[in-house]
Amino acid sequence: MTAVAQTSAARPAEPYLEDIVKKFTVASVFWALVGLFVGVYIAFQLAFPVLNLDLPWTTFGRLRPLHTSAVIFAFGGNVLIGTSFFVVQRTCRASLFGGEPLARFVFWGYQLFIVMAAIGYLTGVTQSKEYAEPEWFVDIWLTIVWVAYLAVFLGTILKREEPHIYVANWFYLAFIVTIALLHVGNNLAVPVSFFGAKSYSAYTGVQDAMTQWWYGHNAVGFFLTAGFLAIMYYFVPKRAERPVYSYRLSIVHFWALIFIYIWAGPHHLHYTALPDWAQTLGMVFSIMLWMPSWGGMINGIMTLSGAWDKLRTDPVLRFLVTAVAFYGMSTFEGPLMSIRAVNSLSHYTDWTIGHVHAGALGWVAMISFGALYHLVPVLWKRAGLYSMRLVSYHFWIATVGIVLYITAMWISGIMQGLMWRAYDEWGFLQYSFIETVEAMHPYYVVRALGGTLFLIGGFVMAYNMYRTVKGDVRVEKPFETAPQSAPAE
Amino acid sequence: MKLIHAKAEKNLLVLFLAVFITVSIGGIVEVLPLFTIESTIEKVKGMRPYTPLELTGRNIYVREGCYLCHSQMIRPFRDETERYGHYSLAAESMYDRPFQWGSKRTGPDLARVGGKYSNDWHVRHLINPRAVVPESVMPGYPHLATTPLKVDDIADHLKTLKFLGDPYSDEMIASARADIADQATPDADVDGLLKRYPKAAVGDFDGHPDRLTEMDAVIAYLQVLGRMVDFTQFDPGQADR
Amino acid sequence: MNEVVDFFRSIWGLWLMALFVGVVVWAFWPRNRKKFSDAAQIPLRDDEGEAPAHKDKKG
Repeated sequence: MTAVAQTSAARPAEPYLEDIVKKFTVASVFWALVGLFVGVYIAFQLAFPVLNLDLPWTTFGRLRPLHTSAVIFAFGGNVLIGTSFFVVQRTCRASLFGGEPLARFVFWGYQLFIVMAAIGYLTGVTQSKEYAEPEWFVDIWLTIVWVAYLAVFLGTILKREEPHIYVANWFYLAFIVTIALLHVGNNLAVPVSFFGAKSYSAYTGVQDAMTQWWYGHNAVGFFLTAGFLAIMYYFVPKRAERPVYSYRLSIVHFWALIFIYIWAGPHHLHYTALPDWAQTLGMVFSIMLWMPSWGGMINGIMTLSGAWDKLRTDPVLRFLVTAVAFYGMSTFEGPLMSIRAVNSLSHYTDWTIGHVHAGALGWVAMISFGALYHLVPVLWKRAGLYSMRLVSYHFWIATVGIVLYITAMWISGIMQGLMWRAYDEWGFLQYSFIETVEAMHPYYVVRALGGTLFLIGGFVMAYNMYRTVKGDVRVEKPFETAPQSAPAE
Repeated sequence: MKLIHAKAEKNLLVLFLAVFITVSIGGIVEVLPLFTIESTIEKVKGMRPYTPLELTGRNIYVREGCYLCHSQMIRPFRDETERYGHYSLAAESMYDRPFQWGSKRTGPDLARVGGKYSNDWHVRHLINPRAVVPESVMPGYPHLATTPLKVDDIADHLKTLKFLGDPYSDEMIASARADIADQATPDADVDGLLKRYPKAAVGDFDGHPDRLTEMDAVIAYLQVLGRMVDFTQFDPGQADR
Repeated sequence: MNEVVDFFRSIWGLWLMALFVGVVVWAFWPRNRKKFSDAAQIPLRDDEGEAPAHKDKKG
């Protein structure tokens, strides 16, 4: 208590810690490129299996977790932690709790987690639980880092100058707390020996499945949704230079979302050996989830009401708003796919993969790119980005890439589902499994090309940011009616 | 100023606790009951823990991330039961740590692949899938055939599983080392092994009787998949799920 | 353990309703209007609280 009173009395407060946010920004861009590259590579593997190279550490089975972890936890995680450190300082008007050392521990600790996990995947050290592949010792390390992260975040809110806790921080807090809960709950395991990597899950079969998808779905709900909604609630208003459409709606959005999301996991286990009551519960909540999701989407997009022209003049804002639109699309598709009848067709097929990427590329990656484009000039104290045109090129390359990706997966997924259940006139299954595999080939090629475009966009972004940091300004025709005053500085 | 802060801290505490309770409830109501309610797993005859060789093979299956393309969960639809066999029961994965139901079928479901193909087919398929299925997009695993199986810590594995509640007896743990070799050696004395693990497939798996490789283990595992429960004896009404 | 689970199984619907109604009432309570519209401005005015070190560099 006294400590708090002292800091508040002792104005001016300490400066914001921005060096650490810079580190997270650089790491985000780096891991985005790594994760996207591995994704493109495994996409080509599915089209051309010779790319598996017959080596143990380059097979699809080992690279796929590398891709998912690199994009979700390395890229997404660095964006989330980095932006949360930026946002919590500014919206609380307080510098990070624990100062530079604790924040640096979170940064390097998290990077170490990523590297340990990645090396594990390549060398076959994995639990083979989707999105929770790292083995027990890596899990323990992440838990330690996460507790430090929670301490920094909570501590910063505690010493805030701003009486109200801004809603973005609520979303960040829910993300941090829930991920901790999920991570510990799902990864309970007993190692075979203290010096060996191998462990056995504390759960078996059906209980393990339910625990895993309670984890898996809420990794989507709280890592890829709540965390990035926090980004939306800060960066969209900031960039549009107007407050969020309805702050009250954002409050309702928050509570409805976190309550309902946590129940939706069983829709990953429709028609399996999971008891029916759990499946039904999962389906009902997944459908209910549509409402808060769209409430949030409307809130994000309507923030621009009265300033729609900024979409034309500011490609960074275009990234942010398009991301929110994709969020709306995938949160409509998700409840649809959780209906048992639809799921019976879509489950096990590429439709799921397409759905995930509509969310991952369209929502998560695009809102991250928007936030990063906004952050780089602010953090490095530049008047603006090196080139707004390059941002616009990136936007279009990425968008075309996503469209190719999603449509290819829709077609291949629905086609595959229909082929599996097709009967011929004599009442026999019409297609052997391998015929359905063969039929996927063209769509796998298109998907890989879509991914390649998205990766190219990532390189354009990295180049643009590099030049911005260097302090260069590209000689180009000013963007439309000149970029809306670069923020802040 | 002090007052504001006292109030603010109360806000943070309320926020923190409300978030915590709100996100905990779903898990408590939806996940925990599965551990206590009797009807989660049917009572069926035939389920037994994996033999040491099958277990080692399963660990290789887990290591290679096979679940990313192969499910082990047959849903109760006509086309799936005709393609793969009887729909999967919860009991059939009761010794699976972790479960390997999967979420994507880039390749076919493997819940009942046991006994469908010969050992020789599996060897050739795993070394080069396109040698037997030209259109396959599966990676080749030639190294399985040449990597000696690591067996020295198998007893520790069984002990760990026993600690977690799987019914491995002290006898099983004591003979684990011998069992792992015997199961893959033609003409070995397997009476004890078969008593401990009824209906285990025995003999050479990888085509090289003199060697114990990872290939032996993986194929032993694949060949037991879906073979434990005797479905001629299974009555869904009785099992009640 | 069972009692805890049973307790939450019986209470969750109530919690959901209480939470939802409570949140809506709180969010739309007329007297809170000004508070929330102030809060919505936080991201836009955060630069006023710009770290002093910053200002020094600039000025």
